[in-house]
Amino acid sequence: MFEGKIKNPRYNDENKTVISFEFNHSEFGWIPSSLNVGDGCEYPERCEYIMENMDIMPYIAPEPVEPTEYERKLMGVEFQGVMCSATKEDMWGLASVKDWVKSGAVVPFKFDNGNTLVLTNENYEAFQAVWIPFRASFFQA
Amino acid sequence: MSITPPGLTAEQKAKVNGIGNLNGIGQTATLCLASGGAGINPGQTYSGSALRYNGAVTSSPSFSSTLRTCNNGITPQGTWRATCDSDNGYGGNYRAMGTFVRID
Repeated sequence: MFEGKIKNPRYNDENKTVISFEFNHSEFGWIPSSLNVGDGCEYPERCEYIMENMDIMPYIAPEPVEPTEYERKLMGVEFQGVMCSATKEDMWGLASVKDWVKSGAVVPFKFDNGNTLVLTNENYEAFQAVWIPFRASFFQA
Repeated sequence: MSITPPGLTAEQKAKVNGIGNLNGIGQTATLCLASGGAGINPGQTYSGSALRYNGAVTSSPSFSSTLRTCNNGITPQGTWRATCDSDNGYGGNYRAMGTFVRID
């Protein structure tokens, strides 16, 4: 029934719960597809055909991706539940509001990564104690 | 009420169960790519295994505006066509998200 209509089946995870393959669709031609293995398979006939008639290639784990320096700066450091980025724009912005915050102003500071932290005279020192070492970590040999 | 697009095989028709069916052919979903670095091209077809159901959460506006997508979503089955254009110039740790329609 599916001879010539399915090719390149491969397990999609190490637990062999999903199979990826190419399917020759009557309207769209060869298209990428996937199905769960076992009772959860939405096309049981296709799953059965693959399992009984085809050699299924092993799962290939993706290569881990190391974040770039800019990505790590943008990811930021967590303070009071907010991930605070540490780009140079953040540094300039924080320097510009420091005196204002220290004088008692409440400043909703928007970081370069889009997150906002409400800075007050009460939390400013604690924030600096977390943020400055994180920022400085990018400039240590 | 059942909506059945024309030209489907009996096997495919069995998968088309109307508007309320999450996984039916013709249904749309918000999905993200399972791996980072790539963008989503409108009209391109993707294996369900390359996608994850996804959405976003945000914390209280009075606390912060942190927006995070939901990681490790469920993997859809079948084949999905992108109905969005999501460029991704941010590197391998960023996964593109958009809307898709299931075609098989």
